[in-house]
Amino acid sequence: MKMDRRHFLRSASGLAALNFAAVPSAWASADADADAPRLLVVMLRGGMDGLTAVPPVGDADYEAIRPTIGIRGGLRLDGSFALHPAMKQLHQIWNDGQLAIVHATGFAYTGRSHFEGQDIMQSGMAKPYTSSSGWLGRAMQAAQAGGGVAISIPMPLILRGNHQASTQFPNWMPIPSEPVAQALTQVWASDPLLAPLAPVIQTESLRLRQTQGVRPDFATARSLPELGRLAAEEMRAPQGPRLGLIDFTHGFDTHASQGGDTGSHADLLATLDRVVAAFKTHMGPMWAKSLVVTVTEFGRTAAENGTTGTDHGVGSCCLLAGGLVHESRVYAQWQGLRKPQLFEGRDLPATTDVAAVYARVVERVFGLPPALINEQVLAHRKNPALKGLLDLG
Amino acid sequence: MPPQATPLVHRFTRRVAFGLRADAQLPADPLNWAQAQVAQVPPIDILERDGTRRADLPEGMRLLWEMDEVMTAFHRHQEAERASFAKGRSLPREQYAEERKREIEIPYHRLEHWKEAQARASTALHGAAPVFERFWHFWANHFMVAPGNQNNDTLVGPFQRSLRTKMLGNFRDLLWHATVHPAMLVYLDNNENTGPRSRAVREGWTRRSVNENLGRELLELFSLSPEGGYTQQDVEATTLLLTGWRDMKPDRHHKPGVPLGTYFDFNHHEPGAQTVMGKTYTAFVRQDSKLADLVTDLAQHPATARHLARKLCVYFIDDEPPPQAVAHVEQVFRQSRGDLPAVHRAVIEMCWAHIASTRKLASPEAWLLQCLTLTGLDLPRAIPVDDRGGIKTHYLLGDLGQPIPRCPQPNGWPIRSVDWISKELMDRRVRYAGLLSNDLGRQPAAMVRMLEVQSERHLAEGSAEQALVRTALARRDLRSANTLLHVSPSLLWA
Repeated sequence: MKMDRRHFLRSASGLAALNFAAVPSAWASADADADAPRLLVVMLRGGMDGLTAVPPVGDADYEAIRPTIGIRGGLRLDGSFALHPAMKQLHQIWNDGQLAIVHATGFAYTGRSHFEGQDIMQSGMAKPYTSSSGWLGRAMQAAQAGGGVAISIPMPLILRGNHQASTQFPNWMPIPSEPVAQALTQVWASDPLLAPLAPVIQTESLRLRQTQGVRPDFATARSLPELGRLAAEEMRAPQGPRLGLIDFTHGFDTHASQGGDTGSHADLLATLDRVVAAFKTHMGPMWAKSLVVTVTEFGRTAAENGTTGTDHGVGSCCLLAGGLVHESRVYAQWQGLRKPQLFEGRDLPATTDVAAVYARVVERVFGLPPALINEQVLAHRKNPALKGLLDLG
Repeated sequence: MPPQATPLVHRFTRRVAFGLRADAQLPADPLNWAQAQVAQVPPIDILERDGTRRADLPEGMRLLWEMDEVMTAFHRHQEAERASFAKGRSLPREQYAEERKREIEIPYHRLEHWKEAQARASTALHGAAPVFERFWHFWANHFMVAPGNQNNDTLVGPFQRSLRTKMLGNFRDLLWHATVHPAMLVYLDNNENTGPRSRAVREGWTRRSVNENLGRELLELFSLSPEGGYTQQDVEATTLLLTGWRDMKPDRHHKPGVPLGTYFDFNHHEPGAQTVMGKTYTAFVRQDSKLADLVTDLAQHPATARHLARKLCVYFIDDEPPPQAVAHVEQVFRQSRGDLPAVHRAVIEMCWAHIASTRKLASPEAWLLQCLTLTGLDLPRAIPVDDRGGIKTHYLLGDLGQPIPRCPQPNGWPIRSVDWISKELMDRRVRYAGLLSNDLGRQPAAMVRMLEVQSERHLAEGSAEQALVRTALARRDLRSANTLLHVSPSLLWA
């Protein structure tokens, strides 16, 4: 193959192929309400350490179980909790009254396997590998809320089940020629898995061919904060997708040398902070109608392990940021960090079912009735500790 | 025997290999053709079309095989990282970035990963036994070691290639080899896993203790799978059994005479007995025998045979493989005590027996290799020695959605067809096929012949896809014909 990538990038069609937002997306829903709430879900794979992201500085036992990797310079939230110092923008959002945190939360699953856990956090089922659809996909299908975009090359399980959901990721390769784009519908017609993709590719090729836009920064276009911006550019449009998804495909599995105020876990949180900040900036006024929510498969051992890291555990924390949050607050049923208070003597327990948090998110964003959510989207245990979460201001 | 219809035989060649070139003969006995390829280990290198080693590689670039060389390269990389880190504190930002690129990024990231990816792809295309390569891809995926931990970039390729000779032995030896290989010990942090009652801790040489990373994956991913029914206590006991198993490299701690590679450090090992799945492991004869005994038991556990039989069948046959196929592979696995050539032959036999009623979507890598095989084009040749343009094989794989070797997580790349389907994944295949069409268009006469041969072989007579390719050919739109051929359901699936 002789194609010169850089030469290609200078050519007009290449630059057009990198522009995403100039005209409505192929999957934008025609009947979308321009003001409808927008939801950005950020998946944090590997198991985020909730005691690093939101250290329980008010707990007298915290320093003792985290002698090396404990967070010392946390940004103050309330008397009990702080925010990791790498998340300065999120702290500003807290000060603006737009950050809710649920702590000691997780799914009912306690098997501590990444891969079972990542299946459950997306399928929303009690057991791993039992569903081919995800809770977001089912929620959108139930709400008939068209449009959902994973800023990713593969389609994550969490969005499957919504027939209008699609994927989007910066790509330098030339768009399909017109005859090919047109023939795809026929070529894939007999294949139920491929057939729905043909009209999307066809419409999108058409749109990209007409677009003269220029996006000169392909080298950095695939960084996570840039993907946050891309999600916002898609979602803020009046006909844009109501739901976006950013996937930290790995990284939170910090078994060794995870660091404290600085270091490898701090770097991940700083990236998360930049993703949220980029999304907020580029949503513009639509931030007021937006919600960003984090999802992770499990938390980690309460005490640091023998290699200045943490092993697989159970409870973690969940961040909810955006204009749909009307009161900055940490929601937690906190039992403490002493051995008898931990799950099986080692992990922060999930005293709040995170499925109840996501059920509330789905209710607020897509307007689905709670009973339907419990039946079709996410079975969950109601929790009084969540009272007030995402209530109207 | 399934019907010998030509498209089915060709589907089989795509399922267990990457299809056949237009000038290659259809094997008279497809089953035998495939099974014969798993009987020997074909050599691997960065190959030319004729199977010889590429001669225009940068000076000194070669695949490392000897453990001494591998551990020395690993150590050099770590030293280079340390030196670079120190420079970062003193040099101005731009100069530092420039030096870091020269000293770390180009040699240890770009060139190292390109070298291994190019060897893997060119050996699949031009090597002696593409069916063997398919099974090697399976095992390198099962025992995933990916770059990204402790500067392990130079360990990844040598580890993956070291699995090849083990594929002629039994599963127990492969499991042992992979578990205690320094690349695995580093990737899953076991080189730091230290017994809380080890001598090193008792005497205060270290503040380290246990790290469960490898212990859990040994049970979950490599052998029993969660269906094997182990508990958290079993994970913790396995972790203790693994304490002290670490890598030995030529750093300042290396004592003369100690071989480089895998090292069992009894001073960091948890003494005494541990119980896993109800069986107690003690070191009566040799200090390091506890782990060897556990690995033997895990390899022979019925849950392991079930797990591997199912995984092989999902990988090669169908997301929902026929139960008889899984049962047959499982039976062969157990009866042969994990004899891998026998297991591989059984998988091939089941692929062939069920070829008409099953299908697998080719992974991005398998599809790329199939495109190149069917068209007769070669891999991109560009070597990332500097910032000059040109497509590089490993980046192209990333553009298609499978950035080998950078697998995000230790469970490997997806093995189910549905996980390889999305608008982006398919759009990228359409676009890449378009690039291939541009390349082929330079020799229209040869392109027409290739398109005629391959569409007749792979597309069913009277199908819509065949009609579309023929229509494009009839109006001399060779590029569309080629693109549509490669993205037809018949060629996306095998």
